[in-house]
Amino acid sequence: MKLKIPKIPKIPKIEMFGIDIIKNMLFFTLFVFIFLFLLGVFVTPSIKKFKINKKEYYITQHQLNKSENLLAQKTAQYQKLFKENKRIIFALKREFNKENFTMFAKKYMKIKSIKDKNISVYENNFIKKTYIVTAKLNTPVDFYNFVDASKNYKNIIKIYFPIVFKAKNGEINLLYKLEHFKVK
Amino acid sequence: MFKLIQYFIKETLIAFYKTKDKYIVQKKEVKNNKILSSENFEFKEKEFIKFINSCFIENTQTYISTIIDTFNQGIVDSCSHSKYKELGINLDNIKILCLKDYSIFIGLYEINQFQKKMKKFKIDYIFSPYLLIDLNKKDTNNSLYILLTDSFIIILIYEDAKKPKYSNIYHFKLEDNIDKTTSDEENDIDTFDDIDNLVDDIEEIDDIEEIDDIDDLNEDIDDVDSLDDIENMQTDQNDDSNIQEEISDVKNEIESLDFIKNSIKDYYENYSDNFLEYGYIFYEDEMSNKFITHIENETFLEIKKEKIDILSIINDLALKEINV
Amino acid sequence: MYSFTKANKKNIFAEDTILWLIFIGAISSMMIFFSLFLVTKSYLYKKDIKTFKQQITQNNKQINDFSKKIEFIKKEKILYTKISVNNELLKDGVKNLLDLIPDPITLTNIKIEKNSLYIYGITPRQDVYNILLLPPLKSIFTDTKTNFYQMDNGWYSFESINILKEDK
Repeated sequence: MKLKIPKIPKIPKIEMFGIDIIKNMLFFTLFVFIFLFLLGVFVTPSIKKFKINKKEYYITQHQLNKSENLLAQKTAQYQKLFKENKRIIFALKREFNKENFTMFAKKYMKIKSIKDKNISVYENNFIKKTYIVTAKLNTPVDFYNFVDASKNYKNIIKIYFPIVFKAKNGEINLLYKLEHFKVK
Repeated sequence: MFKLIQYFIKETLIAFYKTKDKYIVQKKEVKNNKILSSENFEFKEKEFIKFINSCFIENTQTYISTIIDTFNQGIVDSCSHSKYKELGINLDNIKILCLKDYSIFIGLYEINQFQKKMKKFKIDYIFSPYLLIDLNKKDTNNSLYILLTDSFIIILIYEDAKKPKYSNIYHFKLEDNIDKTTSDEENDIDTFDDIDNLVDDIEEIDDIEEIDDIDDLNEDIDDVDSLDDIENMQTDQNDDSNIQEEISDVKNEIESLDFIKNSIKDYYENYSDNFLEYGYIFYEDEMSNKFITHIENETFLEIKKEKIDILSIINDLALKEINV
Repeated sequence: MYSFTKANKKNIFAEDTILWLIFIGAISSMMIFFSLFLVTKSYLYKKDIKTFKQQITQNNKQINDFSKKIEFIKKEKILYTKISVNNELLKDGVKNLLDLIPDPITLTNIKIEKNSLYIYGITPRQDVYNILLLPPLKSIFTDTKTNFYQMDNGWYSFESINILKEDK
């Protein structure tokens, strides 16, 4: 059975003031639909995305600035600290040289021997080498001066007990424990 | 590709010509070279312009065509410029359309004036009325073709059945109350010496008594009767408009005969030695056999009459133009 | 080719149709362009955010680094200070101790330990020792023991053992 195609009624043409009203209204409707469609599908989501990303951008930028500031701060702090304590830092890096120490102590005492006693780890970061030093000096004042001078010696050394002064033939035989500290 | 698109496009063809103060219009709707509809109208000028505008609104592919009936046009049986020079036609003032091996020319001034005057009608195509004959020509050699309308009569003579050799056009003098401007334009053409197809103005027939001169031309007694009828009609005051029409009809007939006679004479004198063998007359509304007999007597030819639809031919020409 | 004139231009669409199409097209393209613009900007923002975040982690790493280094330097300083103080105290202690010894008494051997002190010396009379040296020793140390040995020349050599017991 053949289907009869129904006759599409012709759209009447209303014209006012020389403008085809129906045609223009249809175009207007089409425009509105297209406009709203584009608005909803393209414009609005992209505005949303844009806003979110912009916000995140500024937040992250702010974080970065903070982090940069902190870094600068820390760098300055470190540099200042390093500068202030340069001598100590370098001193703590140096190995102990017996000859050098002997030369240094020459002013105050005549070093007879430096005996290695012990090596241990001190406070996780440092290596403490213990020596027993025997020396000859004339008066205890030399010893005091020696201790004072050791402040400026290029190694970090601690003078510790036992300390033995033995008088012999007008000289004093000195024995003391010397601890040398170095970074690990 | 263009042809493909044209398959889907509907074209509206409007052909018109003007008689007296009316515009006779034919609107044809065409799609893929098939005629969908054809309607004929008669409008006054304002109605016609409204009609044109509404057609444009309905379909942007609307083409408006008409014929131009200026004196200053003709056919030359060659496309070459040397032939024009030979005939003494000045090439600077004319526009030439070459159709295979013969050409139509028209005065530039006339065509521009016509376009200006008809600007309000938004005309696309302007054709020469000679084409109306040329598209309906028969296969016979040495043939005389006449096209007769209310406003003009044109003649084309073909020596070779396919190539026209002689062309001539004549406007009928219009009544006083109608469009003087066209007649002024006709007078202006007198100044163009170079055009050799001008017909001498026939003197106005003021008195019916002068019809007696024409009597000499005719041998048929019927003509005397018709003239008597006219004399009777003139006295009857009630049938004034009909009388006016019939008078103008008769005037036209008389002028036509004169024109035909002069044209043939011109042809024999200047164009060809061969005698004409066949004659055809194209008309639109009606053609009295009496008139045909007059012509036959005048030309010594058997005149076959054929009714043509001028507007339809114009629209067909327009369609051809579009499809080129 | 038959006509004296060429046809006027015919639009495929009526003028108002063309106007509408142009208008709709313009608005549509503007909207699409605008949303594309926003999408591009969003993408650029995202890219920058990524860069920023990378930079932040890098910075944090460096900050940590510096913090550790700073802490370490502080430790080093503390160590040095401790040692300095220790040395100083030690020197002062030894000095004070040796200054304690009165003139008549002469030391032969003195052994200073962390919590003990052994003094060996010669004194002309016992009471010189007992009056001059013993009281300070007693006050400093918890246990004090002295042994005297008579010498040939009438002086006494003494042996002083002093121990400091730490109370916990």
